[in-house]
Order: sequence, then structure tokens, then C-alpha cells
Amino acid sequence: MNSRFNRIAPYVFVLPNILVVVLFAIYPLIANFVLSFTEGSFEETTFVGFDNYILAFKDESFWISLRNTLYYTLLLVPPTIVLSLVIAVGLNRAMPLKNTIRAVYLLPYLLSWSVIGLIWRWIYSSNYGILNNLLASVGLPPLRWILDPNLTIPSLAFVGIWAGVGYYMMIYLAGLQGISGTYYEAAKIDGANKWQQFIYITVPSLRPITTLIVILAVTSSFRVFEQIYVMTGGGPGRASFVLVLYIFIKGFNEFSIGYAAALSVILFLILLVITILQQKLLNRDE
Amino acid sequence: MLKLGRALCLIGIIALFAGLVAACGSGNNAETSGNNGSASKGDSSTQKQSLSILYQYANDENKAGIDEIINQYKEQNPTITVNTQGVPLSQFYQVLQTRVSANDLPDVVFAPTAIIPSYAALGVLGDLTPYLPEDFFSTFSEVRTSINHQNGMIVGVPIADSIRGVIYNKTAFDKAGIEAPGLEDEPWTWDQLTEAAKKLQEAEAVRYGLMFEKPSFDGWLPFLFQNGGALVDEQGQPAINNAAGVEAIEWTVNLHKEGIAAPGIIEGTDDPLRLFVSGQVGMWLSSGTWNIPTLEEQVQDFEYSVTYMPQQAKNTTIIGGNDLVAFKTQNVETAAHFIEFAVSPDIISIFTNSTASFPPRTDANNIVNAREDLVPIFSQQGQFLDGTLNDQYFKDFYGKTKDQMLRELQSAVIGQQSPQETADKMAAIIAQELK
Repeated sequence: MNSRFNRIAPYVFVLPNILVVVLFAIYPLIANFVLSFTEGSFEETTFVGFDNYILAFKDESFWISLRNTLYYTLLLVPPTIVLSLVIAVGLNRAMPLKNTIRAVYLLPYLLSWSVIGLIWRWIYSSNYGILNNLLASVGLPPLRWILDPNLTIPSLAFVGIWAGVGYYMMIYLAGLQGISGTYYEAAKIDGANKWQQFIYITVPSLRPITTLIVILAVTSSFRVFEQIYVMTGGGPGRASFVLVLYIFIKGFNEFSIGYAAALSVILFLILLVITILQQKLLNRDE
Repeated sequence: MLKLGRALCLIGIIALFAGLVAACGSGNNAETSGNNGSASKGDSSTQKQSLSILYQYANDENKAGIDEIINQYKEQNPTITVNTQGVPLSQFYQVLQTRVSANDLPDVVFAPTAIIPSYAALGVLGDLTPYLPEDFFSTFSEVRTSINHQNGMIVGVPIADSIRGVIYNKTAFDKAGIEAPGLEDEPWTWDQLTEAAKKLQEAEAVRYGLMFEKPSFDGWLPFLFQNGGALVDEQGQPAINNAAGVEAIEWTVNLHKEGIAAPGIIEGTDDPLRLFVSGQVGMWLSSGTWNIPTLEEQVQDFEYSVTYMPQQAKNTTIIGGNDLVAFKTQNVETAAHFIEFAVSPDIISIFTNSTASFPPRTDANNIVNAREDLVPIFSQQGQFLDGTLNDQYFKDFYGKTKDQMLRELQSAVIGQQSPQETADKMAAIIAQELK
């Protein structure tokens, strides 16, 4: 009886979690995949095979949104990783108000993206934004931050960096705690300076953490939506038209449910490929 | 002890699991009853009816007006259970879309008029025809009620007319020595409007002479029609890229290039209300009656007034408003009953007074407006309608393409493409939808 209970009990304990994952992750994933092969309204859907996927590859708006998403990712991820690491290293020491400073860096991450979007929309405003006021106070001309199509994505990426750095900094801090101090002592004895210790001890030791952060940051940037929806709505024109926003517009504004489902499958596949490539590249030496 | 602990954990897990299943089950039941608006399953009584109402509101006064109408209906119909969901206008479109996507249709929606064609095309609107008297629309404008007839059905009834005009900063106008057209005057032409805007800036009365309504193609459409342009021609083919259409786009682009029009408004990156209230803009084009209550609250440092929309080749505008729209549920008859009540001559004014809009029926009683002095201008402006052009505004193809056309207009305003290119792309968007 006892041994039978021991065999069954683990499955019973994980059953609720499995149910939640199946109901809210796996089933919607499969349902979305099936939906991507259909078109129609809420009254009836028609099987159309791969038509939605073929349409996506011919759709100019899809390529614009993909390009913008890639550009946003390229501008967001490297600075986020570098800044997070630098700040984490800087805060990984005994100093006054260490915990308070860490909390301050983390604060933006705790805000909702809608609030972040509203705040930065005011800051970036061409007409009453504080950023242009600051520029004017030092004699510089105002910039059309999110209004100029050449500056829209960089301005949005900056907000993403500002909001995300604190979170990744905390992950790096946890990683730094795990590096043994003996390595640094030995390096010091061998004559290594701070920079050499950072390059030859800290960075390699944090490789698994960096891999994790890169994966998190890339998938997060590919899924950017709320901040862009609030700040620019994908505009001006299609200057900040990103993939998830396009999926949303297709699905919920234009009710092209099947096409939106196909686009989200494409997004899923892109992220899957990127994640696999990242893992292979970043863990190559191991 | 350990055995007891394991047993308790096991019981707890099973209880949690059972609770989860029960919660999902009760959620499904709630959706079903909201969906068909009827009494809960298994209830054989036909006397107890229910009605599900979704409404949007622009401000607290608007909300209070709608709540008042619903409360009066409840008092007069105690056997009908009324479930309501009220959301701010900024969230309304998403909430409605989400409910339609989830097949959780409300019975009646207080909705902006422009949504009717899109939802009619989806086949989710209810047919009120069997439940309304034959002469129901006799005191309503035929142009205004044309949108309520979709696919051979009556799908809704107007409850308010929204009229566009040019809201202007009177204090700034006085400083610049400009007098806007009054009730007896002809509306300004585009050139006269542009001159007035420049004069305001030269007098340093404002930062920008004018701004467009907001990031909305609806707000820009009157200017296309004023210049003699159209969305489609008489044969139903795209006509927006004819000379008049290109000219209208060019005029808009030039106003931005010359720094006369405030940036960020058509582009959707700035708040037009904030700009106007802060006194930075002289004229708010294509704004209208719905903004008056908010302006009465927020404009503190200057006086504002209203003049006509400008004219060019034509003296015309578009008219919109709010409608009570029935959705295809099992409760269309009760929905019709509520709609008849809400738009009756004595009740309709509760809504129009709370939104500073105009009643769509000529026999409405007890009308009160936040700014009585502005009523004659708005009322006169509401007569400037070209039925044919206004009809295009209400067509389903327009509802489905206007967001895409807005993006093309934004691209023109920020200098990414020429007015001709913009007009050609808009025509292609319409052609694709009409195909």
C-alpha cells in the first residue's frame, strides 16, 4: 500500500500543474496551429491549407513588421546585456545604500508596460516633452523622438533598455554571488589587474547566465507590444510597426483570425530557431 | 505522522484540482448566460428575462446619463434582469472585440456609429425589424439612419448625433485680431483658414495655428469631401487618388511642413486635448460636440468657441454619433424593447444632455446643452451634409480600410512618401477590400 502510494503520489502532486499547462499553454498552441490553416468569420471557418502562410510571405506589412522587430531587437539586446553586467559588477561590493540602489534600478521593471509607455510618450513629446525642454535649456535644437521615422525605433529601444536593465542586473548579481572569491585571489597573486580579472574570470564564469539573459531578452524584444501600442500605435506610418502588433491588428481589428494565427506560428518558429542557434553559439566551448 | 502529512497533502491536491475544474465549469455557465441573455439553464420560467448591456462613456457625466437611463428602465421593467458593463471609450473597442471573439455577445451596445458596418459584415448583429413599429424612423433623419439598415435588417437606432466643427481659442483670436465666421457668415475657405492660423502664430498668440482632430481617418475625411474628393466614384471604384484627393493630402502635408499644424496629432504620438487646453494651439479642426463637456471642465486660462468647418469645392462634413446596436443573441426582442425606451422623446435627452450631443430625432424633449451659445453653430453645421459622401463613410469597406489609410496619411505627413503615392496606396487598399 505504502509503495503504491509512493508510486502514484508524485503524479497526483504534479497533476494540477500539468492540467494548467495543458489548458492554458499546450491546447491554445495546438488550436492556434489548426486555426492558421483556416479563414473566415466567427460564424464559420473554411480550411485553406497553406494559403495564410503564402499570403504572409507576399505581405509587405509582414516584412516591414519583421524588419522593425529585428531592428528593435538589435538595438535593445546588446546594450541591455552590457549595461546589466556593468551595473551588477558595480553593485556587487560592500557600499552604502547598496540594497536601496539595487531597488531603484529594479523599479522600472515593476511598472506595467502601459504605464511605462504613457510616461515615455510624455517625455518624448515633440510639443511638451521634458526631453526637448532639457535640450532647449542647453541650447540644443529639439528632436522629434518618436515622430521622426529614423528615430522611432531607437527611441522605443531606449525605453526597453531603461525598463529591463534592472531585472537582468538582478540575474547577473545572483550569478556573481556564485563565483568563488579564490579565483580572484589567485589572479591577484598572479598579477592580474581588475580589467583582466573581469575578462578572464567574471565573464567566462557568467556564460550560462549570459546565455539565459540573451534568450530572455531576445524573446522579450520579439514579443514587444504594449509599450509600442501605447506610445506610437505602430506609427507614425509604419515606422514602429512590429510583428506582435501586426498580429493583434489582423486578429482583433480586422478579424482575420486564421491569418493572425499563421503569423503567430511564424513568430513562434522564428523564436525557436533563434533560441536553438543562441544555445549552440553561446555554449559552443562547453 | 509522515503518513498523515502525505494524506493531508494528497487531500489538498485533490481539493485544489476539484476546485479548478469547478471554477472552469462555472465560468462556462456564466459565459453561456451572458451570451444568450436568457435566464440560467434549466429555468423553465419565461417571465424572468435578462438583458446584457455594454456601454462606453467619455466622462463621468456621460456614464451617469447612461446609468440613469438603465435605472429608469429597470424600475419600469422589474421582471427583466439587466446586466451592464460600462467601459471608458479608450477601452471600448478592445472590450467589444474581445467579447465578440469569445462569442460572449452583449444584447445591446451603446456604440459609436462607425462600428456598425464592421460588425454587420461579421454577421453578429441582431435584426430589430420584427420588433419595431413600421413608422419608427419617421422623426429621424434619413441620412443619419441609413447606417442602421444593414443587409436588409434594422440593426440599431441612433441615440445621439455628433457634429464636427472647428473649436478655437477665442482669447488667442482676439489677441491676433481675428474674427471667426459666425452663424450668419460663410465658412472660411482653406486659404482663409490657413491665413488665420498663420496670423495667430505671427501674433505669438499660440505655438501652432491649428491641429487636426486626432489619429483618426474619420477626422480627416471631411477635408477630402470638402475638396470635392471621394472614397469611391459613382461606379463604386476607388476615387481617392483623383486630383481632388491628392490635393487634400497635399494641403494637409504642407500645413505640417510649414509648421502651422501641430505635429504628433495625426501621427498619434501626442494628445490633442492636452495641446488645446494648454493654449498651444489656435484651432482644433474636425473636433466636435463630444469634446465640449471635457473642455468646459479643463479649459481654465482662456475662452474658447466654435466656428464652421472650412469649405473648399464643397461645404460639407460627415456626421456620426452614438447608436444603440442589437447583437445576434437570443434576446433581440428584449433588446428592441430597451432600445425603444432609451430613444423615446422623453428619455433620449438624458443621453444627449450628458454627452453635449444632438438628438437624432426632431421630437425630443428636455434638451439641455453645456454651452447653449454654441448650439446654433453646431446645429447649422449639422445641415451641411452631402448624403452620397456621408453614405461612403458608413460603408463596411471604409470601416475595414480606414486604419490602413490613416497609416498612409501618417507616412505622407512625416515625409516618407509623396501625396500622389499616398493617394495611390489608399486607392489600392480600398480596391483590395472591394475585390
